[in-house]
Amino acid sequence: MAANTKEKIEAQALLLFSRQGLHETSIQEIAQSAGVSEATIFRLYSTKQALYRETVLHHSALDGIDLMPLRLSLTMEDLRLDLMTIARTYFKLYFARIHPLRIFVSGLVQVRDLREFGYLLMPPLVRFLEDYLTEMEARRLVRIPDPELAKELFHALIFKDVTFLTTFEKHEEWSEALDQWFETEYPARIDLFAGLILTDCGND
Amino acid sequence: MTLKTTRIRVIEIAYQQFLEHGYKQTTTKQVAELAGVNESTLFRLFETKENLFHDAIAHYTSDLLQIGMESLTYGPSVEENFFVMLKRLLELFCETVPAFRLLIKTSLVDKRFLEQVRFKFESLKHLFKQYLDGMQRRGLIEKTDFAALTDYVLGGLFYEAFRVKMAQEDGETLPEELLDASCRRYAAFLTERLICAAPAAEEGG
Repeated sequence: MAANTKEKIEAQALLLFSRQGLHETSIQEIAQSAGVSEATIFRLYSTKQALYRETVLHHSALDGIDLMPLRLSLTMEDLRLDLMTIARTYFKLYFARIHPLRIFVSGLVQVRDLREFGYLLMPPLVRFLEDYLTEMEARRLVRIPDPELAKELFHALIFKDVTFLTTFEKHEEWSEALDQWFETEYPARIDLFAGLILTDCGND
Repeated sequence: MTLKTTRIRVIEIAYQQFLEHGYKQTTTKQVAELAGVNESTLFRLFETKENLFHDAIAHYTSDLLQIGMESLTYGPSVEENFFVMLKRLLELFCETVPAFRLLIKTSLVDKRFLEQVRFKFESLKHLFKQYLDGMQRRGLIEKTDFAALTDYVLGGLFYEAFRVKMAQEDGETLPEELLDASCRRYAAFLTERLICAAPAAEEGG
């Protein structure tokens, strides 16, 4: 079935493009990994560029993200605990889409029109944090001197960490090791975020 | 033309070629031609294509270690101090974005080499934290978790650098004021949150 075959091809193409880059990956390699013939690939995609484009488009789609479980797991009282939960979830979500991220970071200059689908920070996650902070502010549990900056700093650090983890330590998925890393590194950071970048209304 | 400038020219051409056409498709012959040198000169300078690749990355991250003690200014205006420091850091990060583009191609980069580059970034973090310590010891700012604060500030600048580079590649020319805007915002934020409330210290900025 063409749909299934396409999925198989694109899954392999995604990995190879992510790890090696567009130019360094050949149709032959993709064909071999996917267990199809080169002819099949050319029949379905006509050019490597087209395959690249469709692979990236299909895998960077954000409509599959469901943040309801996250919303339900928040206390809406304990700012620090909630921020830890949010940050941990965000890391997992970024790692779930690590390959499109790696492809964007390594430069999408080859296929310009994909830019609009590109993201360094995932928009639904940015909005979610914004909504959370607004709600906590309404409950008078936090004051936010500079909301734009707060949002940006929270996300930018996660983006930077994800990029560093995948670049320098070659992580391609969330693991127990990363969970431990997170539990070690983030409490102090969240503490600073809550106390300095926001102002938790404990000492009002 | 000195050997040093030749070396840099070759690296800059090589970097462009690696980025546009990929490692495999870039040949030392092409690079030499575009750089206007003999292929033998290229080999004398780099020995192998692989060395050239790594040297290109090293070149774009070399400045990370050069932001030395002279950048740490402790003038009377806290906000201005921060602005100058942050601007320099942002410029550095922008210069390293090309290196990241190549580094992230996992399969091509030597592990030892990755360690070297990572170390450079760590040094930068250490430097900024020392800077904050210095500000605090001079009574210019309050004490807080400087390590964590450094993480956020550098994270913000790193992300900003990517945004800037991507916009530039899209053909947008970003006016200097826009680039300064982030640094101003961060400087204002740091000043406002950290400035010493103690009456003895001078109000900066």
